[in-house]
This record gives sequence, structure tokens and C-alpha cells, in this order.
Amino acid sequence: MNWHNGYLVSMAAGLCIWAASGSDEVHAADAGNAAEVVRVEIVLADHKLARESNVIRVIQGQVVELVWLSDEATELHLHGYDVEIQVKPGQHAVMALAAHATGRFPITSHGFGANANGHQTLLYLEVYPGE
Amino acid sequence: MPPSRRQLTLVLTLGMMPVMAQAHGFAQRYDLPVPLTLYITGAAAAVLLSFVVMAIFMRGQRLIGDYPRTNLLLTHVGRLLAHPLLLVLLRLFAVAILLLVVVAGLYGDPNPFKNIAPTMVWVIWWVGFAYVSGLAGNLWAVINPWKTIYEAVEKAMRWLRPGSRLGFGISYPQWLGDWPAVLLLLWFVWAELVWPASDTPANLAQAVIIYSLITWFGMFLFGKHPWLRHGEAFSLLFGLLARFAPTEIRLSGHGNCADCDVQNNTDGINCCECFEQAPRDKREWNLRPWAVGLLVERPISLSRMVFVIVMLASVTFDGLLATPLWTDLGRWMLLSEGLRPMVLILQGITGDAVAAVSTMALMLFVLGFLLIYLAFSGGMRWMLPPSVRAEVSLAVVARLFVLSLIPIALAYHLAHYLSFLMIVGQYMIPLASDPLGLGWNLFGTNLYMVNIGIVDARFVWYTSVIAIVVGHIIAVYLAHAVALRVFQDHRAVLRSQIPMLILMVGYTMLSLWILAQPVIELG
Repeated sequence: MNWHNGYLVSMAAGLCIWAASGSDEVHAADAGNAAEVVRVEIVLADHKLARESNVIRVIQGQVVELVWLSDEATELHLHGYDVEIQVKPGQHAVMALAAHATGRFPITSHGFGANANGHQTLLYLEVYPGE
Repeated sequence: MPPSRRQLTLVLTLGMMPVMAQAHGFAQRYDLPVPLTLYITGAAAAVLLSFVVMAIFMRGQRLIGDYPRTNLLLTHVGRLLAHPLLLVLLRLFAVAILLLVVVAGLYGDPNPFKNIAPTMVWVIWWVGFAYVSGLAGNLWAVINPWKTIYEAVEKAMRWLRPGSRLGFGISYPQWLGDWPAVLLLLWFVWAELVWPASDTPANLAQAVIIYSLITWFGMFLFGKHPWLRHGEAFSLLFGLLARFAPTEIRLSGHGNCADCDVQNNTDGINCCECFEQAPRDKREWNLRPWAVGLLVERPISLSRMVFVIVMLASVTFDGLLATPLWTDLGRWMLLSEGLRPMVLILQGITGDAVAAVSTMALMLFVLGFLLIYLAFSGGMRWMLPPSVRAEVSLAVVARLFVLSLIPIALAYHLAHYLSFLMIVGQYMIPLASDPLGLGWNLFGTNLYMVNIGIVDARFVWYTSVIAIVVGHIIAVYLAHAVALRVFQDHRAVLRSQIPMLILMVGYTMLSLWILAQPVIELG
């Protein structure tokens, strides 16, 4: 086996991959651009999320409003940013934050109903760095 | 088993499902997964640069030999840093921290974020000390509080009854090797990654007390230094990581260590016992190139090889625990009929089904790591020409090359914990003012709020990927250099390195892949 050729081929392949990688590093937010308000409505039914994805992606610098609607009372906690809200059944509750720090932050429910007890991750808020 | 009980067990385990994804022992991680393109770029760079290293060795360049070094003790800064007074203060500080962790754990606030014990043990000491050991040097050997306390008792004994010696003075049996340290490391790793109570201050303090007693008992039986070399898991762990570091201690003109049981250690490199006994003018504290401490001419002991494998496997397993793959795998293990008897036995011991499944997975993972490494060592041996092959057994090959994997593990450790250390490490600021959670405010910082924006995701991504690729290249280089020293025959060297290269590329890809997975948090 000719190592020298192998080396050149892999060098070329690597360069191609490197070149290709630069162009498409885009993380589309669920909505909006930086400095805009991103408003996402989230419905909870029967202790579960009524949406397909359990990840909400935003871009650093955006103002985020998560509007919750639940069929049961619960307390929600956005970790990291440490935002806590009380949700009453059938009433909209807003979790608002300015997404200044990047990261993947879980939103947990501290149980449902009158005898709330527990700790369950409902979804993740991902704040990606801006372009 | 009657059906009712079986159903009950199933309900119990299902009830615990949300907590399946249990990440690292304590506190949360907020890492964003490394983007796919960066992951592919990193992987491609690792493969590509491996060929560059191969090409350098193809040309027959021998880049190893006596590495350059400078004695820091001949500089003002070096003498200041190694000043006896400063060292005494550092040791006393470490003893105070050990006592603080125990007292806070036993009598402080049971909330892990209002008690200094969990942050001190899991973040500052475990994660932080690995950084210091790998990047700066073996600080642990200097400040090990168990050693300091034992020495204080020794001194007091000698003062009270001149001529007496502390301990039984049994000579350390050769066959025991580093196995005590292997067992203690397994216990520690289990506590870190699986133990449900690892962040409960009181339980943590109890574990620290038990470990302290084991350490002192070992020192009492076999002597202080033999136990530090073979039994004290953290001296071995940080010592192995510090082989990568750019500093070493050495004795000029010392020859091989004669007084201690470290065999074939020319100039007593990093041998604390000989260093302590040597006259001051023979002592060197050197700056040296990175990673040269990992080059070996002779195989390390079997027990030490297993120790390294446990170390590597556990670091990777920690990353794996936070991935969606583990969530699925763990769930499958919980529900598997075939595994149920084993799960129930372990559940009896650990007290919860998730811990039982994680314990099993950890054991299998370590075993799998060991088998894969041995298989590739076999491959390396098989690639050698028959004349060379006849001289080395599989075990010898495995014991020769295992240290060259450490840079990948160290780089992965740095990458995996970077944001964790920066964010969770900030809890030390309020905790320093109020270590027991009693409402004190010693330094006026007890209201400090953790800044989650201290590190940018992009910075973490690039640092992580670059660290892993660089670690990989150093690993490939080390393995080649060791092969050159040992096998001599140039063709044999290159052929033997093909399986090692495949193993290292696989290990690096796995490390990068874990970083590209979304963190699934404790539910």
C-alpha cells in the first residue's frame, strides 16, 4: 500500500469536508430573528405536551415568551434561567425571559393537580449563539 | 415468582421511568450539543492528522529521546512557588477543606446547593483536580490531606516516644499490585455516576470518612508511601493524569529508585518517596514538554493497566449517561425479562431500580472497554513480524500501549466538563461565605447568583472539538513513539500501529459523538 497516496487522498477529502462545513451552520429558530419577541404557545393536556417536538429553539438575544395552557394546575420551572410560574387550569400563563445565555435548559413540572409532587421534564429550551 | 409480585415490580420500575436519565452525580448541565458539521469536521481532522503523524514516522524520523527540560527551582518564581512555607500553608488548607467537607456534610443544610460538601467533592476536587493534574502537574501529591494528617500523627508519635514507628510495617506484597486502588476507583466511579445519594451531604460525608479510614488503615499496614503508590486511588488517578502534565519532579544523578519499590525508574521521576529523602541540591522540579511522561519503555503492571481502563471507561460512561441512547437502553434494560433477576438483586443492594440498571451497565461498560482494548492489543501483536511477535505476549503489548490512550480521555474530560466547571463551580462563591447553610456571610458573597452566561456555547464547542482532536494526535504520536522504542524494527512499528490507530480513531469518534448528543436531564 502506498501510504503517501493515501495521505494525499485523505488530506483532499478532509479539506472538502472542512470547506463544506463552513457554509451551513444555521440553527433556525422556531420563529423570528434576534431582538424580536418569540412567542410560543404550549398546551398541556393530561400531564403531557400537546406538541410534537419537546425542544424549542431560539437565538441568543431574543426575547422569549412561552405561553402555557394546561388542563390541570401545575408549577413550571425553567432551569438555569430560574423562572418559575404557576399555571391555573384553563388560564394562560406566560413564562418570559430575555435569552442572554446560550445552552439547553430543561423546563420541568413540579407535579400536577392538588397534591403536586414530583419532577418531570416537559421540554427543553435551546438558546443557540447568534450568527 | 408469583404473578402479583412480578406485576408489582414492573409497576415500581415503570414508576421510576422519568428519572431514567441520571446524569453526572450532582447539579445540572446546560450544554448545547456540538453541531453536526463541527462534529464531522473534528472527526475528519482526527483521521487526517493521524495520517500526518504516520507520514512523519514513515520518513524514519525519531522525534523522541531525552526531552528538553528546565529546572524551575533555579528560577525565582519556581523557588517562590516551592517555598516550604507556602507548601505548609497549602497542606493545612487542604486538611481544613477535608474537615470542612465532613463537618458540613454531617451537620450542615441537607440541600446540596446550600452545603459546601457536594460542590467541593464533585466539582472542585474531582473535576477541577483532574484539570490541574493534566494541565499543570501533580499538585495532589503535594497537598494530599490524608498524607498530611498521617504524617502529623507520625511526628507526634516520634515526639512522644522517640524511636517508635507508626504502623505494622508489613512490606507491601508484590502480588497485590495496584488492585486495592482498582477496587477503590470502581467504588468511587460508582458513587459518582450511579449512587442515588451522591449529592446528599450527609451520605457524602460518610463516604469520605470511610475512604479516609481505609486510606489510613492501608498506610498503617503497609507504610505511607507503598499505600500511596498502590492503594490510594486518587494518588494513582491524579498521578497518571499528571504524566501528561508539563512538570515533573526528578533527582539528578539518582539512578534507579533503590529505596522504594518503584522498579526501573531512572532519576526517580515523580517518585515522592525518593524525592523526600534526597538532599536538597539533588532535587529538580522541571518544566518538560506535554505528554512525555506517558512514554514508557517497559510494560506497566497488569493491575495498573486495568486501573487506566477503568478510568477511561468511566469518563466515557459519564458522557453516555446523559445521551438519549442511554435513556432508551436503560429503559430497555429495566423492562427486559431476561435481566430482571439480576436487576432485582442489584436493586436490593442499591435500593432503587435505576441505580441497579446503571450499576449493571457500568460494569458491562468497563468490561467491554477492557475486552475491546485487549482485542486491539491482540491485533497489534498479530501485525508484528513473527520474530518480534515471539518475544512479546498479548499482555505485554496491552500493558505497553495503554498509557497512550490517556490524552484522548483527558481531552474528553476537559471538553465534557468545561461548562459544568465554569457554571456549577460558581456555587463556590456563595458557599464559601456560608459553607454549612446556616445563614453566615463570611466574605459577603452569600447572595451571589450563578451567571449561566459565563461561557458561550460556541466557545465550548470549539474548545471541546479542538481539545479532542489535539488529544487524539498526541495519543497517536505516543503510541508510535513507544512502538519505536520497544520494537526497534521500523516496519514492525508501522504495521503494529494500524490496529492502534483504528482503536484511537474509534475512541475519538465516540468522544465527539457524545458531545454532539443533546443532554437529557434528570427528569
